[in-house]
Amino acid sequence: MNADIHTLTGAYAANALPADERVDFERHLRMCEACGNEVRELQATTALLGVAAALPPPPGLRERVLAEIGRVRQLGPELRPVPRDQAYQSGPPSRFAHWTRRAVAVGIAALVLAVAGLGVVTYQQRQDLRQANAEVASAQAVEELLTAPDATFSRATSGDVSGTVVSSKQRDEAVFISSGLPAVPADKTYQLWVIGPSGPTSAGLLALGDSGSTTPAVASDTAQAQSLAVTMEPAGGSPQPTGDILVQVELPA
Amino acid sequence: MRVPPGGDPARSGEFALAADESLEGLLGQVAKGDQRAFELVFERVAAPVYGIVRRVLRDPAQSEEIAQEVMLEIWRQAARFSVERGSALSWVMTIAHRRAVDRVRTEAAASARSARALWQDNRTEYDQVAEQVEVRLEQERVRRCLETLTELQRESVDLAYYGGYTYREVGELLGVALGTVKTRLRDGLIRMRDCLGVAR
Repeated sequence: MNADIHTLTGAYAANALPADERVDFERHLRMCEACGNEVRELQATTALLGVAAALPPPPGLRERVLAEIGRVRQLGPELRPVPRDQAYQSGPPSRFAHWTRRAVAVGIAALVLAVAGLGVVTYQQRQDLRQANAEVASAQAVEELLTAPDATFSRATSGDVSGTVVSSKQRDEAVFISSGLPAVPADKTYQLWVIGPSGPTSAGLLALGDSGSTTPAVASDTAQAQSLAVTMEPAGGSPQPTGDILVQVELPA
Repeated sequence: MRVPPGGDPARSGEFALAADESLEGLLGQVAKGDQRAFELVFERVAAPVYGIVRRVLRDPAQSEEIAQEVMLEIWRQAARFSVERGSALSWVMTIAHRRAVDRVRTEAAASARSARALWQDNRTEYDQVAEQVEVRLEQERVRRCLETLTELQRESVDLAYYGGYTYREVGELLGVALGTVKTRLRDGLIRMRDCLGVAR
């Protein structure tokens, strides 16, 4: 926990941060549990300061608001990060997909070079990555992750299966690629898990390419996590893992 | 805090009793599009929302406009409220205060605030509020707790929260270093938290 940024909890709870610092602090907040607790308490405190300023609302406000809600569409709930690749699979490529094809090509090329630089990439894997290149899944997120200043590579193998992870604590995200996973029966699927302090959380289903590689999957909430793991689950995925871990990649501490 | 329904007792009979009458429970209903639950939410939070917006903006016309936006935002975003991130009242008041502050920080509004505020009748509606015992008690509690702060803490909290100034502006106004403002704001709010007995 950075002592200096931590003192901003008060200014944040009082909405006294300029817009740019608010954004920075909120990024920090996602990674700092102690700050989160303090912010919640201080926001509950400022809420009471606000309540103490209560005034009867102007007459007519109620009627205007109630008349207006009939014309305002409500937002849906915030969903857990689901596989962006699934979203793409369900329909024809969008214009966005075309647009980002180039970006992902650059990103995957960078990933290949970087992994090759570590001396751990095989020819087959390079082929796999080229294969993955054809997929537009999570293109932008992958690109952003690869260019994060603190991007770190991790890799693990288990028999024929290998998993490669590029993770960024700053971005609180990681991209996962694997090769060597066998084809799954129609009623099964591969699922990626973020193993964090409170156990495994689904990071979505993995799509298997022809050559046995999975398309890059982006997992969120990884800054505090220990590892990413893959299991085989019933089609559609499970809320909690039920199958054996097929490959597990430790994240940098 | 619970503000009694807006002066029309006959009306409350129309509401089917919500399964969970806490603000959190009501927001859950609102998330599913329940307009009657939203009316109940409105009755509970409209006075605090309008009050804090008015305190920051001063200008009644702008305050009404922003309060309306805030209430619609609550309707729109109800599904995004999560108890994990704090109470429903906190959530509502954060939206309200932030909206007011964002309005202040657009330049056009800033000049309107200084110019028009001078022309506004500064009479407040505190007399009406005084009838609402709970609000009175809350005001008294907050006032007493504010008195336990050091002068610099109190001024920082007051200018930042009620004044809607950034901590940089507060530093400028009080003639103290930015680091000092940051810590005074935090220390002041922590002391308020303990004094008000906000759940840890």
